[in-house]
Amino acid sequence: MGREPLAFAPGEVLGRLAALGRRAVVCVHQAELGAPGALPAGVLLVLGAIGVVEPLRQRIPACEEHGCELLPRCPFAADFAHGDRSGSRRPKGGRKFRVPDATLAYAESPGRLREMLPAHPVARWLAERFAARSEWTRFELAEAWLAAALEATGLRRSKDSATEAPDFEGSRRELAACLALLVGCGYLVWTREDLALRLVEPWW
Amino acid sequence: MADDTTLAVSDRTLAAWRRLQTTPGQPQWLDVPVLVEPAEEPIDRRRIVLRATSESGQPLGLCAVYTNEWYPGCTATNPFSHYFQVLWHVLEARRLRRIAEPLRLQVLKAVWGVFPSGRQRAVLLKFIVAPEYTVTGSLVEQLYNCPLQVFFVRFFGLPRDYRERTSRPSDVRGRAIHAGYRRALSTFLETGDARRAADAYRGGVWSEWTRSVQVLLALEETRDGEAPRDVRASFAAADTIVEGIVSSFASGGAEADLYFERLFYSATRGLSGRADRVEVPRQPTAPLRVAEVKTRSAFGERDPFTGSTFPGGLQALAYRELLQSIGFDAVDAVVELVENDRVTPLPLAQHPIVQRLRLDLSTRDERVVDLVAQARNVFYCVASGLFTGYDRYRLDQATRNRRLPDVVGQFDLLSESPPCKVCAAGARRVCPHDRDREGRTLDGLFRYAPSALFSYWVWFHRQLKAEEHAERERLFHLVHTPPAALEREGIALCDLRLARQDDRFVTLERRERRLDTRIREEDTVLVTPQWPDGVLARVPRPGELFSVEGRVVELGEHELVVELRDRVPLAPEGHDPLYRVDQLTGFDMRAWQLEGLADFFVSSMAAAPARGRTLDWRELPALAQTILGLRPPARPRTERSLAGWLAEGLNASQRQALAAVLALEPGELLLVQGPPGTGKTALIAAMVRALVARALLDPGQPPERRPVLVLTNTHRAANEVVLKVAQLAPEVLPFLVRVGNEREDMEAEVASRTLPARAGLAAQERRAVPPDDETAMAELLRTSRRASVVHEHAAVFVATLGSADAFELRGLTFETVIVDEAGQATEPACLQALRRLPFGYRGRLVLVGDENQLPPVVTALDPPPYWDDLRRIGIRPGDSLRTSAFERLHRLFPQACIRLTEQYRMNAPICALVSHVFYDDALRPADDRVADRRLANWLDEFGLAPPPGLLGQSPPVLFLDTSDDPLARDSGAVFAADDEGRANEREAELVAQLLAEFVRGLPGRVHARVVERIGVISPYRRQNTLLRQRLARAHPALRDVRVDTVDRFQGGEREIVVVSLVNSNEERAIGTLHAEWRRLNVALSRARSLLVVVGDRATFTAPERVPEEAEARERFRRIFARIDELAARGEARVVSTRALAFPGVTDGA
Repeated sequence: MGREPLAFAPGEVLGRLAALGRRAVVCVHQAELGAPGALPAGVLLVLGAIGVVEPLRQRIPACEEHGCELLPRCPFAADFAHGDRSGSRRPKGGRKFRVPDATLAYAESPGRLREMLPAHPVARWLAERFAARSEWTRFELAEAWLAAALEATGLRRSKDSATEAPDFEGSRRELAACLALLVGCGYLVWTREDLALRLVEPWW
Repeated sequence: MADDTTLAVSDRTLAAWRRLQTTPGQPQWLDVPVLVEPAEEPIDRRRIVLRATSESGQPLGLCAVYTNEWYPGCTATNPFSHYFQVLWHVLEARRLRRIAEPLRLQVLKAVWGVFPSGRQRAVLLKFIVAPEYTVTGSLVEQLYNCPLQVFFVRFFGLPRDYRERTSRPSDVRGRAIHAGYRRALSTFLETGDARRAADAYRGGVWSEWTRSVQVLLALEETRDGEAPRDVRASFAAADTIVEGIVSSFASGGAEADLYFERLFYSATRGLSGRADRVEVPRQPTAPLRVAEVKTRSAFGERDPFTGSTFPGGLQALAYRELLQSIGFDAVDAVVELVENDRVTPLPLAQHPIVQRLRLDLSTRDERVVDLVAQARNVFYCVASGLFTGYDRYRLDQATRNRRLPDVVGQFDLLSESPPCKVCAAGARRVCPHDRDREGRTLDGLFRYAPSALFSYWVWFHRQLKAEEHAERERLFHLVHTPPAALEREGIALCDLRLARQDDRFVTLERRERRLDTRIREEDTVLVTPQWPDGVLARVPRPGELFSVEGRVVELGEHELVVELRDRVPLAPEGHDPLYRVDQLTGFDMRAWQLEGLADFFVSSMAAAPARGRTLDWRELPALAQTILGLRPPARPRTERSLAGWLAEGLNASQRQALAAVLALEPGELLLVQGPPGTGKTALIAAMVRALVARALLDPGQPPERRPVLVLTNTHRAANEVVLKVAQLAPEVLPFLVRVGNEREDMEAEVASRTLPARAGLAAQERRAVPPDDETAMAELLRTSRRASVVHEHAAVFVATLGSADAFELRGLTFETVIVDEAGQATEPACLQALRRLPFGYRGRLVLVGDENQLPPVVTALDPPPYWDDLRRIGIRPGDSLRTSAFERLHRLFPQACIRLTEQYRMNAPICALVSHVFYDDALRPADDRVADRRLANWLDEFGLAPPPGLLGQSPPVLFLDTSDDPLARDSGAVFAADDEGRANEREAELVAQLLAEFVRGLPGRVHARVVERIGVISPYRRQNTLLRQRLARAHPALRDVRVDTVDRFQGGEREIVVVSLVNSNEERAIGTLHAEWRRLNVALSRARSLLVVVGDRATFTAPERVPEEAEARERFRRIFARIDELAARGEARVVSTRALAFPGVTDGA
């Protein structure tokens, strides 16, 4: 396939975050720009949703403020610059995260992530799929994800159906991250030459 | 007819000159064409002396042009005149380019000057320079708004950067209202019924909102889940719009014929237009009315009293001048502005541009002509590159003053509010005058470019401009050439009858004569009535109001179907309803290629780490260096083993190619050469599957980055990719989008993959307008949501190179871009692929093609003069726009190419022939089943044995040698223009008898199925016509054999292929078509079981007459030598045709 099969073990994830130090700021673009040890955007989004990192939505620091080493070559730096230097209209929220003190503590006990992950909505969605069938190919999972997204558009159609809001949110990179973390936690395993994922142990 | 026109024009010129001489010192309005050449060189900056002749070659003597329209004895000069400056630049540029042929001027006004010395000479005062170069009304308006924008966008070709997501343009609501207005007006004038007009309005609005993919992807519902304000407002405007129509056209009865979006053209003004609406009154004395609808008022002419801005003024003036010049004396023009949910008409007389200049529209005010001529002439001079040439200093200097005073002159009547907000030059930070943007501009864009990049740009830009020039002259050619001559050229079809017409399509037929033409499906054409004088307001000529533009969707032997912009006029009772169809290449055919080239230039410069100094080529992105031929690509890394599910169904060379694609790093290039029948499309499907699989569950993939984009040279190839993916990798289909709307020629599977269809709004559903506004809006929102989800989840997009900036792709970049048919795409077309790679070209590029098959189709064959710097970037003397990027890069970096070597079409002997002559003996049958394929196996499928006779009993290769057959001499080139008018009676007869004998040996029940697997190929259209006649005469079943040119056969295959070479003559001339040896490769490699070649060995193997045919001759020698070798092994047979006869076969058998 040309890339390593994706799996993120809790110890590795928390260890990478702990290595950044207290109150460190991480950004979804760091992995994309090839920063060594950076966690992919999808993983950060999932960790943000379950409280392992804290998504920054207000007072988002400029890249210089948290000493990002990628600044000289980052095309997104202007998005976060303050005042006149900001030349972008792209929303900044949800693209940077702070590593809270609690996460440093979790690094000592990686099993904590294994307990927290099943609460994520995507993990819940995946639980329904793997409860019904123990093996899914990459394509089948992505197609099911697409079908769910399409179904959700229908549910949102009625304007007085606030209560009908679907339990489906998120992007495919969050699905991918969730799967990589579930593999890392030992719930799933890649099989058939990395074409498919098989259930090892239920997380629900 | 047109020959007479030319003669009459020349006569008029002579008469005008004589008239001028009779009234010396008095300026006169002439409006005649004149051909001129400079009489003095270098050309003086204050006075130009010209040698003039009429179009028929009659000398008119010397004439002169002075600055500011001076002439001896004039009372006052015109300080704002542009004529001298433009002519000076044009003549100077032509001198530098050594253009020898005279320049055409449409002389509008001149005077017979009497100088104090007593010398007398014509002085030209006002003229249209090179009127054969057609400029559209909208471009004239663009020049008026900002001459510098014309330089950047129309000369340089700079596009917007669609890697960035663009916000929805503000005029979509206006467009929807406009569409509704047009339908409502048309309905009201037809029926006089306001209610029906309102229904029609709603249908138009619905149609506009739903047909735009751009809209589908950009609708943002309100917090309450309601339709956005723009949508609601456009539907709600129905009453206001219809009220306006009713009050303006009170009677509702049809007093005028309405023409929508009709092309109209003036060969004397060099102008064309496509006004939104032209009303031609039925009462002969009433004025014709032309309406230009504008949906955007952000820029244009400002009314000094109200502060309102009105665009379209110069465009409307140009349309008025244009229509008057072709004989419509009374013309009213109006600009209709869609604003605040209503349509505000502004008669031209009240337009700020007219008010500001105090133009008198009740008379033939010469200042109107000056204004229009200035915009048109300056556009010609700037956009065709005659203003700056390719001098780096002049190019950069041109950008210093927005108004280009050097060519425009001191005349400052230009728009006060340039359209910077929508200008690509501002957005790309190359325009120093855009005040709205921050950040450093790319100063010295041309001066600071590395010389390799500049040379590369110049080489292709000059050729694209030459192509564009030829296209802009097409209308002039159509109007000035007799229809029969155009039909012989293959660019027109005459005497067609209307068979059917519905809302969008018209079927035209000619039963008595086959449609033998170079017009192809997809071509833009003009459909024009061929009616005598008196039926319409004037004798219709192509492009002069009564023509309707369309796109050929189907072309058969005797009929063609055209999708039209408007309905064609029906002939009145008693008139023969004949029509002609002319190929109109379209001015924008090369525009997107220019854009790809300019984007490459600017993107490469923008990604360099420095500004404000000359860049070294090593500072450009790595992939740009490779494209420039300066940095070798990495050798393909094929060692990594593939997972079994990825390699399944692929042969060894395909597996290697796939492994190499998966091992590519960002910024790298891979070339994959796919000889005929080697499964290129299957490989592309496998690549798509592997690349999608790799990225589908990648947690690091940003939403705007997608795994793979496949770009093809034609729609057909794009559709084949989709079909192949559906066949070999169906699991990818949910994530695949075929870019564009559904088209009639799409297979259902392909159509279902377009975004509107995937969103649940296929063409069928779009036609049904929902019963009320609320339902319509709810449906629109639902579709929009679905479209957004499908788009977000899409991982692979398939598009043509020309639609690489389609709305579906805006805001997206791709990890890998694959270009299919890269050998058939011009190099600038191929650069479209780079526009979709991430900033700095940090993506992977895969070119799949075969430079040994047909090269890109271009019209201008002569490349510009060669200069040595081109050698550094791998461009050789003899290269041109026909040299694809694939060919050049393969030549430069053979180590970067993987060749597919296993083919699935030709049996072993045919493969051996093709492989030996064109592929260094590297090509082989993929397996024994292919290698052993024989006529007998194929006929066995019908339960038959090969019939007796020459063909039935032939080994896989049969060569009928006509060298010593005195009857087999060709006709010579009848139509010299393109060398396509050659034929060979004897060859046609031999082919017909050979096939007739074969078919007669088979039972009638299989004839239809057998002949559909036989193909006859000749490069000459005239020979093909002859072949069809002979085949039909030899046996009725042979009417259905496909006989076609090589170019049209590319991509196809047949069990039996007969190739008629045609050329056989004492001079041993093989012609330009055979000199392109790749044509021969394509012809021979179409055969699966049996290849028959009919031709004169002596003619083709004779020593070359010109160096350009040396390679072709050598390959012919190798072909015949190889056939001899095969014959020695019993795998081929060579038969002399001198004494060949086919017993039992007679005409009409």
